Amino acid sequence: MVKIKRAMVNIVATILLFASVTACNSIKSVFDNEPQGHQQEGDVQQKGQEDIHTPIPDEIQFPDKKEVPSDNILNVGDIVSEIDVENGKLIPDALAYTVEKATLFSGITEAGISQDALVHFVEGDVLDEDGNPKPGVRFVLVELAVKNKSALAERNITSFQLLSAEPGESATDSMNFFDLPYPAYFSNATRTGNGSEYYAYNLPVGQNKNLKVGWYVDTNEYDTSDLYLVFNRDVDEHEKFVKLDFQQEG
Amino acid sequence: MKKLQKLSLSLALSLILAVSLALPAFASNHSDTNLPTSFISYTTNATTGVRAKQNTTSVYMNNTSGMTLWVYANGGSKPSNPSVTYSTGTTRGNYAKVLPGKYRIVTWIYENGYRSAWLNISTATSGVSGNCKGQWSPDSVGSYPPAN
Repeated sequence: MVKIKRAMVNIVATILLFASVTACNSIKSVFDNEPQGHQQEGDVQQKGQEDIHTPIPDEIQFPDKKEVPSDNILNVGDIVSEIDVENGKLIPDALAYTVEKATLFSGITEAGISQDALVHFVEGDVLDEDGNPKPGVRFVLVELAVKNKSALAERNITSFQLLSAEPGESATDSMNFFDLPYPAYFSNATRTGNGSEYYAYNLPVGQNKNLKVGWYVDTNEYDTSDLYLVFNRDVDEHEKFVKLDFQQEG
Repeated sequence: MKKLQKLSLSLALSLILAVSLALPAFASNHSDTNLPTSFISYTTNATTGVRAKQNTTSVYMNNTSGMTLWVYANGGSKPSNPSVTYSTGTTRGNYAKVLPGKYRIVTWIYENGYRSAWLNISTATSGVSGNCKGQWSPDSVGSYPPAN
């Protein structure tokens, strides 16, 4: 009889625990997720006449094909000016970057980086189920120095991007640029909170910082001899490409 | 004492069972990356890069451009060659008007089978133009008001 009572107590305890955890999840989903039935058209708010807008393009073509003036192609060691934007207005020459070194490693261990230092979700189909690089995937680590000349202090390293370039058929042809996934590693990452601010850092005006940023690169898909960091992308004459010449391989 | 040990063990096992049943694996791609800083107007668009979408949560946007933005949140695939990303009409209400500040954009990108997301951005008011600024993530955590 005692055993039956004990078993019943245990079952009740399990049910109560399950119910409480499920209830917590339900409450969380109310705050985190979309309202139920969000696909219903009747849910859409009324729009005024100003909402007649330019049609959305049917598709975006990749790669990004463009002619790059030779003055806009820089090398490791050169100073690169980056713009900032304040209330829709462009502030030229707000930050000064110097790409000091680019190194190609076989993996993060060789680069002296631990797994838990990476961003919580690594983009691109570069890792296997165990979190190890797939065959042909290598790790690019770029060391930069940055000085804030007149920009807002809140910065994000995704203001510059890693691209792979494919030269045109002749020297005068436009180059094709392919986007690589966002960085997997940032040396100055903000680790507080839920991870959404991993790429953010703070740099008040007049101060300098040294940064290390790492990307996984699938060498089956991209040629590591044609990798560029692009600053001020698509901002007319301010767009600059830094060609990554790897000094050594680890 | 033995009774207490048994009870503790039972409770611990119950807790493990309850948690494992109630909390499914929940991958999320919610790191904030910058919006493009290129010039936008009512008729000039800017597009973000394509990022992996991992769940059905809303797209997150922090609009620091000082302008109200008109945003299409699209699902997409990126075939190797030629690489094309399609717009998909996956934003609730077709588009979102995002005021300056932090908002979520309700989409059904993931529900419709897409596993990547990108944004098409312009200004929401005719005659207003400038350079775009802000951050976004394809998935979201936390609570933000909906923009659409």
